[in-house]
Amino acid sequence: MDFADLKTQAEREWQWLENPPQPLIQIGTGTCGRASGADKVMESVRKTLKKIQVMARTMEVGCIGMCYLEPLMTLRKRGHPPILYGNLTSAKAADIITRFLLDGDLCLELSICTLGEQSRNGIPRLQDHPMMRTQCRIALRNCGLIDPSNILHYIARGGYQGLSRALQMDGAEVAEVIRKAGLRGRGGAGFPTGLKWELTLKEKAEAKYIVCNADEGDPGAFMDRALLEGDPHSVLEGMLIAAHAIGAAEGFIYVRAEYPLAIARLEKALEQMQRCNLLGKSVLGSKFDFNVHIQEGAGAFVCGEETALMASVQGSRGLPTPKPPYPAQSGLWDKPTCINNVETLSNVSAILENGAEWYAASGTKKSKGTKTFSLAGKIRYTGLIEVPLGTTLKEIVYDIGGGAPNGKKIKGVQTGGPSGGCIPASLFDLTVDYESLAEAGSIMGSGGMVVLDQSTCMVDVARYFLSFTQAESCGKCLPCRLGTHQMLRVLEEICEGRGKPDYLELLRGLSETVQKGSLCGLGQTAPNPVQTTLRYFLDEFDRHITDGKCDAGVCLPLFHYEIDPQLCNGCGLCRRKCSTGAIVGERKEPHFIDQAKCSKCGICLQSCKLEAIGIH
Amino acid sequence: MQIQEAHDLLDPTWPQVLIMEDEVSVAKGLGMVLSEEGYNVDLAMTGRSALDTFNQKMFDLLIADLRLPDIDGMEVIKQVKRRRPDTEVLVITGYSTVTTAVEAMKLGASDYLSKPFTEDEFLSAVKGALVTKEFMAADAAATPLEPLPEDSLRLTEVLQQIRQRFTGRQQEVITILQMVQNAVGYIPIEALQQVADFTRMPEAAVYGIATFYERFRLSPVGRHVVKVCRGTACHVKGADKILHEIEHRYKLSPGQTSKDRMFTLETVACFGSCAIAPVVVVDDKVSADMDPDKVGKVMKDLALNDPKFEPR
Ligand SMILES: Cc1cc2nc3c(=O)[nH]c(=O)nc-3n(C[C@H](O)[C@H](O)[C@H](O)COP(=O)(O)O)c2cc1C
Ligand code: SF4
Ligand code: FES
Repeated sequence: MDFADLKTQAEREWQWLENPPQPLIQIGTGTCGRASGADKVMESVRKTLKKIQVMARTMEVGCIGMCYLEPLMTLRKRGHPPILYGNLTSAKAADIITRFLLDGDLCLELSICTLGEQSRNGIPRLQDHPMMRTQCRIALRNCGLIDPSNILHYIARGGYQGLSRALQMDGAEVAEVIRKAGLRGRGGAGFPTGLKWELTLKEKAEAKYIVCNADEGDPGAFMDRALLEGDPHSVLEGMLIAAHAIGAAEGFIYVRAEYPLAIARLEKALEQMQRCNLLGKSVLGSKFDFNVHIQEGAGAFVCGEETALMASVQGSRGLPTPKPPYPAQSGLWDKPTCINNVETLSNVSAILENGAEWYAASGTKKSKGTKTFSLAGKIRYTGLIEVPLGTTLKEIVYDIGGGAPNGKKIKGVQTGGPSGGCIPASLFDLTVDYESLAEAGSIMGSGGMVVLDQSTCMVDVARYFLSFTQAESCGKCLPCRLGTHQMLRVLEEICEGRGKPDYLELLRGLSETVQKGSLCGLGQTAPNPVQTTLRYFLDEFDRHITDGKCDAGVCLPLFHYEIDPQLCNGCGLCRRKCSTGAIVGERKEPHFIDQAKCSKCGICLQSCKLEAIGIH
Repeated sequence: MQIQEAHDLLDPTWPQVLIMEDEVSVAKGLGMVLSEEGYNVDLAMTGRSALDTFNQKMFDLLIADLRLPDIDGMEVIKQVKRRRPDTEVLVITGYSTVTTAVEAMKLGASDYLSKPFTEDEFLSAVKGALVTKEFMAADAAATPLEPLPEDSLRLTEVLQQIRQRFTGRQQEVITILQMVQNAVGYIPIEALQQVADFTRMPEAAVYGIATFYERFRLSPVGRHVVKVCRGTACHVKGADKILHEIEHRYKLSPGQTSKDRMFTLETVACFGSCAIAPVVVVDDKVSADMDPDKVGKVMKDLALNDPKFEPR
């Protein structure tokens, strides 16, 4: 079948979806959705349809990004705009299906928004939802809207148009489009993608390789997972375009083994591409041949680093090697290799479809386009977002993310994971782009944003990251292996209340050594979380060291809980929840905590409705 | 009146208690005391009605008077323990003799109280009975577990598949080791030798790979693998407390397996489900928004549904 036929068929199917003759129920079954019970919701919907004897179709979609509302369901019925419902349970889903399909009741109280241009009965449109209003979705253009295991949906939405265009150009022309678009690598370092391709193209060799880096090692980030689960073809198309540009006939996708669903969706997608002549010999009738292999990672963070990743693909331990030679000159099996991140490749397919000018219209002078971020931690609307580069942290955290839950004060945000840093709330006017985040001592990284509030201890956060990098250091370089270990020990002592004033200087010195003496990015950036917390949250270090206090109530030896007898009304809630029996008191009389028995699990703090329990 | 007040506080996650007592005033009195403490209480005045109620609903605790108008209380305990061995039993008796108490304990009762007793004595006995229930899993195995006989069968099978599917190039070695682990649960020493042969790599190199990557294990695991995420999002939302709870309750540290082979505890860097943190993955099923209480329940349910579960 040629591409035009495929496209006609896809468009027909899509029109059917947009205006289905029978009701259509779409349920988000990404990992977040499933974990929140999407499978049960699906089952309940199917059962209910049988019970009320209505003919309707069900369909799985990826993650739309509003993870805090999972499980999500969209109901499409002729005569109504599609309506999105969230926070579902089996019972709620059954209720909506019955009321909507039998009585035409839109179930306003359970609805979140409509999809598309129309609103209905006061239900706002998706694009008017606070979390969505300022977003601009390029990489995530299809996530949550299409069935990721149906290639026709992707094609109907413009998919593989870019590839078909690219195949009519030569490699240098394709690289030129990407260079003009100003796309920079989304894996963290922000190296210009067009330039990387040109460098790889320039090398003469009988074989070249393209690698998609889907190792997503930053703990607290999930953009790549959501993208692979929700729209695998956008990444694969980008990979084909890249392969054509640099002249590669073989590609590898290196995926974390912790992402089984993403792997399954990729496998399915590859199978469909094979059938549609998008893989194998002469792709879409051109002279371009291409094959892709999926390589599962095995749980080593350092394998996100390019040279380590390539060692791992070749079946060795993932130890980084010095650059140069760069992968573009000598990569997999010493052949020129281009490594691109998942999101970079999804942007590539959009750029080839819509043009370089279109892409370069968003973003800042040096950082073009959009960037996805995963919002997690102490924030109201957790989920996956995409904004133009140059958006301020304030907009992201407060407007899109809705600020901290239950009225707490936000202390800062951690960007860039173990290689990044903590930016304090006082600097939230900072725009998000490669340069300004680096200036603040952090990095943009791959897009993880973990919001920290007053119940987060910054010393503990620094200790946490060091424990991570120390465990993940491959051990090749002495400063990285021993330096992170030493830094961790110092931080542990501070958290345990054994810190001494000169420890801060010690930390600064060690940071510099590790930074300068390490071979790969892991070691070079490992001190970042420590340096930024020292820079912006020095007072917390002082409190720990001088006063032996952890005001956030995190470092166990440095605080205790107390019940304020003035506030406690003796309801006994905390006493019942306490698993160590540390809380005593007569009914209707103020209660007390027996400090000797208290394990500081904090369950009493959560259970008290009167906020009578304080951290001291 | 008081019972009604207490009903507002009913929380389905709090323990379900069945009181079997033929004296109406005593039954109601005890029920009231427990309801006020947040327990969900049912009353039964006869042995038969106790068994009926017990058949309809799950209970965490049976409080049993031994002298009943119809059947012997001891018989009820026997049946309850047979049907649901995880139900704790607290015996109350008006004519306590050491022999009846011992007999009840042999049937699996965790404690007994002889009348008369104070409200406090009663409450602490109830709490005590439920605490033993929480500590049901065996301690961690101090030394690595012995392989099971079926392990080597599974290994032979998977190695056969591997020989058919792969060509023995070095780049396949990680995928091969993953297949072995998926089939057997870990990578037995013989497997390392065979994989080395097949890929024509030195044994030491294969061993080096198996120890470099966090995901590979070289010793057997339990029937259920509980993985706690230690990613940043989960960390700031209290993953440590969840881990601590499991360590404390089941006496396991990360990497260890309980002696009864029920649970293996592991930690993972991040599951990419950070938006619904903290996350725990049990047997590859992701559970969102966990806390120490919930993780305890998830593990308890697993244990109870495990065919090889033996309560202590
Ligand atoms: C320790 C370390 C971990 C990394 N982890 C990842 C990762 O998980 N995903 C990723 O795309 N890039 C990661 N990178 C960056 C890659 O090395 C590389 O720069 C990137 O994949 C290039 O793709 P891009 O140009 O499209 O960004 C990591 C780098 C280092 C030093
Ligand atoms: S810096 Fe650290 S992780 Fe990187 S190569 Fe050196 S020891 Fe390994
Ligand atoms: S931080 Fe726990 S799932 Fe990502």
